[in-house]
Amino acid sequence: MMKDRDLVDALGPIVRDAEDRRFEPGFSHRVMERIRAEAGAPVIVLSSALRRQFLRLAPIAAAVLMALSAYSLLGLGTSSGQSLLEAALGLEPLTVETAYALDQSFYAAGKD
Amino acid sequence: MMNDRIPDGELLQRARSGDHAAFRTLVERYEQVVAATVIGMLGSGAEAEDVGQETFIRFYAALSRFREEASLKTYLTRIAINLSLNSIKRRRRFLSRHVEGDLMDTIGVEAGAGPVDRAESREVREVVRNAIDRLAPKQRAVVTLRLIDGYSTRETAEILGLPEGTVLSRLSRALKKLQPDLQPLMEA
Repeated sequence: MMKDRDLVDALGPIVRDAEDRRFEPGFSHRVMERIRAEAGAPVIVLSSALRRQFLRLAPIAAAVLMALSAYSLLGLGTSSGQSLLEAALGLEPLTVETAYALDQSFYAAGKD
Repeated sequence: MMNDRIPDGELLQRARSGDHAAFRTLVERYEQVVAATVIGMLGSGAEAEDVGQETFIRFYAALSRFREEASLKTYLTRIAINLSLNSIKRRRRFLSRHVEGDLMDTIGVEAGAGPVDRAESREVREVVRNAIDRLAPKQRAVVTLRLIDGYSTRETAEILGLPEGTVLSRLSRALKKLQPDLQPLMEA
């Protein structure tokens, strides 16, 4: 039985010399070409893509928000101590009666 | 052509500041080191070429992080070994999904085959390549570094991030697997 050291000495040259371990000529050129290509390629970063989408959608969303607020203001008007913001958001004026009515309708729905 | 006597440290500094010619000199200087490792692991061919290129591309991307605590040769060999192991895993995964049984062994063995010059050297080469390809990837890494690249046990342990004892035991198991396959070549 051969010892590991002897096996390394015996098998080493066989394994080492069995094949030509070289890349095809022009390897460094191909590496540099890939590095240049990868450096020049556009990098799509998620944050910049999101920012682009936000900038595109934000004016549209703002216009829709303003239109809805105007519609609410014109439709409901400001009444019975309701603030301008509540009116713009289309919220009903909050009174004890409306709160009570909401509670009752919720209770009735639970019974069904 | 940049002077071969310029030290690695200076070339690294120039490469970090965007000097492509300096980096190219480093590629030319260490191309053979990387080739020995990846072709030892994968056999010659397109897969080895791709892993070789990827090794230098990873190194280029990590230039600013490379602190020169390890030698550049060791550092590049470590990248090359890790990428080769990944490539073997991918190859095996692909073969296990698409090919069955004995055919898988045959294709796995032949995947790294490249052009040959003479019938005799082709035969020797195939016997050795088949024997190496039959080793488990971790054993193959140890055999490549110790027997082909000529690293010492300590250097091999450092590159693989393993205790020396583990390297020795993997090498011992690998040698016992290789011996019957390579016995005819030892006697020749």
